[in-house]
Formats: sequence, structure tokens, C-alpha cells
Amino acid sequence: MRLLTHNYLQSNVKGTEEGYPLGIVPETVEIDKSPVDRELLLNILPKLNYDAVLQAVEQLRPHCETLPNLPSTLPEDLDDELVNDLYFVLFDVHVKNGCLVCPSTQRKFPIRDGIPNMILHEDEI
Amino acid sequence: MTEFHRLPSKHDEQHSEQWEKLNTEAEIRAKKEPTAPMPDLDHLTSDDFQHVYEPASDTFLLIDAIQYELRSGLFRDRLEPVIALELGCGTAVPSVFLRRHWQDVKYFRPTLLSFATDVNPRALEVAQSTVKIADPHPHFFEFVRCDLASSLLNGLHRRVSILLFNPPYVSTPDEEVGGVDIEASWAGGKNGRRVIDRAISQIEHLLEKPYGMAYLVTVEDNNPFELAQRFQQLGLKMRPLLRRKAFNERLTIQKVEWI
Repeated sequence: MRLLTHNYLQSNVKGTEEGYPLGIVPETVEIDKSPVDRELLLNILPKLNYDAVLQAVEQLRPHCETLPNLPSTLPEDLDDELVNDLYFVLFDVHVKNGCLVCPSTQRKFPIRDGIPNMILHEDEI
Repeated sequence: MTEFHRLPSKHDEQHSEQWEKLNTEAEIRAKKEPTAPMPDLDHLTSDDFQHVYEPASDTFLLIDAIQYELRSGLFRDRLEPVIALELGCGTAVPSVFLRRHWQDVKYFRPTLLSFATDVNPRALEVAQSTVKIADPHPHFFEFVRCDLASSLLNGLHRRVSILLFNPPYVSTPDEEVGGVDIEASWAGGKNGRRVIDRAISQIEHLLEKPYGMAYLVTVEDNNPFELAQRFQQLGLKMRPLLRRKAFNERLTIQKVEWI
């Protein structure tokens, strides 16, 4: 699971007031470098929840030394370094194993082999 | 394609006739369409296909439809990235096909970000292995195990440009709906519409305006004419794109887009 995907995911457990952003409890984090696609990043960025990105990065940091420090708010003009850092965070960091946590109910959703399992039991729907 | 502005009640004979005409046109288009090349699935075993739907006539027609659309210039010259989402992906062959043929010597196309969901964990495992082998640009294909798009509804609200859905369309007793193994790939409950009907509002919620489109497999049991009316109430137009007879079914790829 990349952090871009994390940015789009929500919890729908019954009784959830705000199932977003999901907390991340990582077990295995892998880096898979890909060529920086500047256009892609600049297009995707305005549609992201940046606070959720920052939270995810802090939760992953103990498991991943190479995570960059990101500014608490995004400047209007992004220099190349920031573009590279954001691209790396969103596209190259993979949470392979661990779990996601609903911020409202604390329900845990396991991540195995990079795939989050968001399936709910019948009594949770 | 024949166009008309209003889809009235199904008792309106004139418009039923027009729907039949659209079906005939879709049959002709399917006949003319060269068979789309299947991604290689040699890495999958017969045991995999005990648990995961093996690509069949419906899958083949769906990839023919994707090929038809790509050749017709789908999203050519667009600059913003395109998000594609496949619901109930199974082997994810349609998404992999889309990715393999996305870049084209004839047209410029932007980066394609693919997402796929399924309730069946084995399907996602198989799909992931297929992506590794058959996707020339694996660096953006993400899988989520969930029911339809339920966990992505807010995140991908109005962001999906291409939605692919080969639903469980077979008419079965309602009790057979809701499994997470291979039966989830076909058991559609009454008129094969139980899962399709739940997807209608999600599709409306997810599709980007004004260019987003969905491609949906139906059979006659699903009462596609009535389904088109349901979409129309939400401001969406559903029309047969390709249509082919397979065994005892008349498979149709329905294209759904904003009116």
C-alpha cells in the first residue's frame, strides 16, 4: 500500500463518525524507487489531504529512516527537492505489512503483502 | 451510435425499438472488432481457478471493448493523470489489458493510475502476480480488499475517469450473494441485479465530471433497459457498446457516461 492509496482510504465501521485519516501501524515498510513524474505529482497534489500525508509520514518514520522532513504547509511554488520528496513519499514507500486503524472506533484493518483488508463483518455494517 | 434524449418507461414501444436498434449496432461493432490479445496467464494454476474466476467470454468482450475505446482515442491528448478503478477485479485482466495498451504510437496519453478491489483475497493475490508479470508499468497499480468501492468512496469521489466492472450478473437465489470465494464472481441474486444495483450509486459518486466513464458487463436477465433508466435518473447515460452471444447468454458491454 502506497501512501497515495492511504490518502484515499476510509473506514466505514458502523458508528464511525469520522473514519479518516486512518492511522498506520507499520510492521514492514519497503522502498521501491521509481522515476519522478513531476507532472503527475503536481496534478495529484492539490487533490490530496496533505495533513493525512504528514500524519502517515510521522507514523512510518520509526520504520523507515529515509523519509524526508516535509513542511507543515505546502508553499505555493515547489522547488525540485520538495517535488522529489513528495513523489518519494506518495509513490515509492510501500507499507507491506501492518495495519490501519480507524480513528473513530480503533478498529484495525490488517495489511498483508501490501493489500489493506477493509472487509467488515456483518455486525459492523 | 443512435442517440435519443429521453429514455421513457419500458412500455413505450417506440423507445424499446430504439434500444433494440442500439443493441444491433453494438452487435455489429463487436463483429468488426478484432479479438483483443489476452495478457499471458501461464503463471496461474488450475488450483487458482478453483477460487478465482477464470477469464471467459465476458472478460474477452470487456477487453475487446477497451481495445475499441482506446483505438477510438479514449483520453488522447489529455494532460491530467487518469485514474482507473476496477470493481470486483478477479484476475484484473481488464485493468492489466488497459495498462498494456494505454500508451499508443498514435496518441499521447497521460499517466494512468490503476486501483482494483475485490472481496476475494485469493483473487487479489492472483491479480497482484499478474500485474508483476504482464504490466509493463507496474509502478502504479494498487489493490484494496473491500466490497465494491466502499472504502474509497470519499477519497475517489469524482476522480475516477475509467471504471471497469464485470459484476456477478448471473441470476441466482438471493442467499447465494455475499460470499468471498469464487461464487462472489458470478452469484448475482434476483435477476442478477443484487450487486449491480448496489454499484449504481457508487458509480455515480465516483465518476469524474464530465469525462468519466464506466464499462459494465450485463446479460439480458439483468434487464439492461431498466438499468439504463436507473442511471438516467442520476444524470448518466448507459448505452450498449459491444454485444455478443456466448452459449445461452447475450453479453453486452454497457458504456455509462455523463449526459
